Amino acid sequence: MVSTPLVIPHLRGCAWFEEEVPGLAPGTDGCLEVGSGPPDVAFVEPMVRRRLSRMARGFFHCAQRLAPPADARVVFASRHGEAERTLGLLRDLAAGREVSPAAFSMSVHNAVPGLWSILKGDHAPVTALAAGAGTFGWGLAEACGQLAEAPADPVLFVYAEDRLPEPWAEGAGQPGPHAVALLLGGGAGPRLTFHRLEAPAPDEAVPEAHRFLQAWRAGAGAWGGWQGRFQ
Amino acid sequence: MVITALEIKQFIIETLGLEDLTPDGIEEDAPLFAGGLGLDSIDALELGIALRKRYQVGVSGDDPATRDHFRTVNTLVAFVAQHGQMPEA
Repeated sequence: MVSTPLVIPHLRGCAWFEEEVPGLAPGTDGCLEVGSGPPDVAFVEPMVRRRLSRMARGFFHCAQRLAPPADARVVFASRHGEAERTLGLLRDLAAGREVSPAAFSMSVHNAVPGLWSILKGDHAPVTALAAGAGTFGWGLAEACGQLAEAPADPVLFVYAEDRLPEPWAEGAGQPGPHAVALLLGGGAGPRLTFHRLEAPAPDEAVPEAHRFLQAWRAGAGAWGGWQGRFQ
Repeated sequence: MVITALEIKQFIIETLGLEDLTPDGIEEDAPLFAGGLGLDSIDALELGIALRKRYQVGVSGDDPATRDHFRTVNTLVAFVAQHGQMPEA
């Protein structure tokens, strides 16, 4: 039995990698832009910008380039979130030091989309989620579900990940800081039809978000436990 | 203890990660919060903890005088000069 396909009528995307990734050359291809290097966050006022981590800068860079409508709902997905800040807080607690209120406020999982909504004066709902190795795919499925509830209003989906700090880092090969923003239902871009695979491919070395972008460029493909076609 | 406005400005910039500011960019008599420099309530908490760590000054959020001490660079200089201790080298 094949699960019911999910449909996103229009999709535009912007991806950012701190360091260029093999198999994902920078460039704009239709409605998908892939970039690398320092994220462009000059549009963010300095008093907000100072609180942005590498991951948050990736989020802001990608989301801004899609120019989402003012009241777009936001779905944010990150497997590890602000792990570096969290680790700093845990180290302070373990050493009996007072913890930094600013680091604490920015360590919670919805902090980055929260800052985005403040900057944009966006009063629409924000969802922040994590789902282990499947975080990108389930985040996209959630955004697709939210679009289905109110198809006239586009949904901004942003996936962002930082490099894990020691001692959590699993050694070489883990992806560097990267972010992917997608605008679902914005009236431009290809139609994405995708479904859950019955026997998901095993966790492979290439991260799910990278595989999604490669599938988009190829017109079809699989990412994590999902398979889809861009038309 | 003796402390200068420049030291307090550097302390504020360092503590709050004000990457785009230099000491010259902070007016000594302008409000640090709200309409002035634009610091927020999280900055106030962060400054309170950092003042305690660096200069051993007790800051209480319940004390109405705290608001006056935190008003400008100059009021902070006066507060630390009166109650603070030199940081250990």
